[in-house]
Amino acid sequence: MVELLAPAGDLERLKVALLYGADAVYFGGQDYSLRANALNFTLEEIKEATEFAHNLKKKVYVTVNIVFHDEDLIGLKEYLKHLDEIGIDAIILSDMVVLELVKELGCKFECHISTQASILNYETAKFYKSLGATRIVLAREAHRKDIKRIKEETNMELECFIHGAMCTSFSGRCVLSNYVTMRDSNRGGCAQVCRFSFKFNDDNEVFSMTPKDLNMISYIKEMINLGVNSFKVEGRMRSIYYIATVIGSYRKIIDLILDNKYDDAYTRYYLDILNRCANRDSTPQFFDKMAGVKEQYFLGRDEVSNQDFLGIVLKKEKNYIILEQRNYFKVGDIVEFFTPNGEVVTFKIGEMYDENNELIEVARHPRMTVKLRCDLDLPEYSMMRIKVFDIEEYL
Amino acid sequence: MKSNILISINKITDIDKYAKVGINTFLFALDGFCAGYENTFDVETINQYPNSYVLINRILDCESIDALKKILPQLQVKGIVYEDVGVFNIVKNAGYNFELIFFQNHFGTNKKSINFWLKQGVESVFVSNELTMAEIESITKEASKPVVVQVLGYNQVMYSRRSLLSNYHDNFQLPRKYVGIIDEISSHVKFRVLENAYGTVVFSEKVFNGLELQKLNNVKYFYINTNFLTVDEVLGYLEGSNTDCDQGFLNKKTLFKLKGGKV
Repeated sequence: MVELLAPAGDLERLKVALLYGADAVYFGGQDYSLRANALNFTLEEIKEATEFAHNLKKKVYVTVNIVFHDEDLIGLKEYLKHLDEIGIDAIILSDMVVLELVKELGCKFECHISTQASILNYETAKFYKSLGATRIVLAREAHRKDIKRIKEETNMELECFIHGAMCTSFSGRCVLSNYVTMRDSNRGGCAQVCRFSFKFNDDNEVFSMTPKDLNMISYIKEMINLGVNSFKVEGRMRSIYYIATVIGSYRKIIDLILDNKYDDAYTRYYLDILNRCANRDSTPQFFDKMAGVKEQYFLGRDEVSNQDFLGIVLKKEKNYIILEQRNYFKVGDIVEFFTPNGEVVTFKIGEMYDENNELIEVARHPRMTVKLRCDLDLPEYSMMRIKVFDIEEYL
Repeated sequence: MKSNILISINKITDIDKYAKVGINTFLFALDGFCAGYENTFDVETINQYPNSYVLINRILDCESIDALKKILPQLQVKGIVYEDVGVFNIVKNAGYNFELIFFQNHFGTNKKSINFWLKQGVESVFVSNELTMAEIESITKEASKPVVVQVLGYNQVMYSRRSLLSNYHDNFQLPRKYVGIIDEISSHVKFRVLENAYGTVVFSEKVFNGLELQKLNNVKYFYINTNFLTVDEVLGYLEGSNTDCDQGFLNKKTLFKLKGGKV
């Protein structure tokens, strides 16, 4: 089983992730999730999300991954019962109180052990297997040798992060946020203090612990061969454009590998696409070596964003598409659409109209509705971006 | 009162000084298996103190787990204080007689989880020190076996696999230092940092003084982490003459949700 697992910060992101090729999504409820300040899902929304995913024959995993204080245990039992009634596929947990309750209640969903448990060896994995966990999410510090050995020794389902932000610390082994902001990092309040700037002793330089992001696109084939089952993308608070781009890229690479049509050219192309979409540099981090100087930033936050995302297709009307603008574009621009089906189509902006059906030359207002003359058959949620890379130049 | 203090050892010569004031249970960080401790000790040295505990606090990769399996039969101590669950699995399945004390920093935060581990056969569990006095008291009252409560020392704040100090010094081509103070530029909250071959550990800048927790019952050990402290400084805190310290979160409750009312 090879699964592409996407983050979903809300229902719209969930739909985008699934439509763009994720096999499963993970998200948090209103409580008990490590992104306490994301929108997160109400029970009603979890039900809707589950139905949406199951209709597509895909899965939903709910994060119940905070480290509980006694006061947080109130209501947990009822919450787990609700999740079971809704029919979610699994929960992701790190605190053993949750696993024990799931067993006591006889819940039907599976239990996946969160990366918060920092599993890097087969003995730890065997212990969680003995408790009934069906899957472990390995620590982001796992080297290829650890993944191989854990698979060989346990034959458990292995989930590995392949893309997105990294913690400076082992996940869960950090309460910097508690000390600097009084926000409890292990109960979802992490303020990302490790990305703040420090001074070391009396040095003049800025001391930074900020890690670059993770990007494993070059190693997917090797990871499949090592026995990794679930390829997890980080980023429950990322934009729909980011989700669509990242999930769409990995979907394409995984399918090419599984269909024996893989060529390194695709990796080079999608690496450029992913790097352009991200706001930080990325590396494979610990998979191929001990992460060192090149896997960090040293000048505090070093994040850049671009205006590549131009709009999202709302619907098709005869020879026009109705688009919601996200960044400036104008008549004559060469752009490209990428679709949930994995198609990428080059397009030149021609005749276009605003909400009042007035002919316009420029779409300059954020989220304005634009009617664009276009004969392409573009499904809802297709996205328009600046054209920078062309796959033909890579093949 | 001092009979159930567990104290980490920085130097072998410190042992006699602690013994003189009635502290007789020692914790030795094991060579090759610890991060965040200034000094570690080999098996031969540790075995000279059979009533002591060995600390294994690294998150262990597969190679290290294999190495540990070779070392465990050589250990002649009372017990093991460990962070990685794999250690428990090895000891349990191999039938060793070590007392196991689970010290998973930041995770011993509720009574049910602590009781879960005790039920698995662990002798005791460390209660985390990001809790309030009331939370710690409640846990000690309801734990099914006596727990370990941290009462003195620099609190562990973060553990990274990365060589954060070496990376910084290498990047700016500065001479490497493996210990120091970092100062967050906006808030000026400071932390102590210590790096060794197995990672970097960040500690609170101030000594945590929770000695008043010694009033609690159902406690197997009150733990003193002597990292960065001399014997005289430790004894000064115990006698009440050293007051350069704070009480961590004992009287401060953290929050985690900025909206939605749950504080």
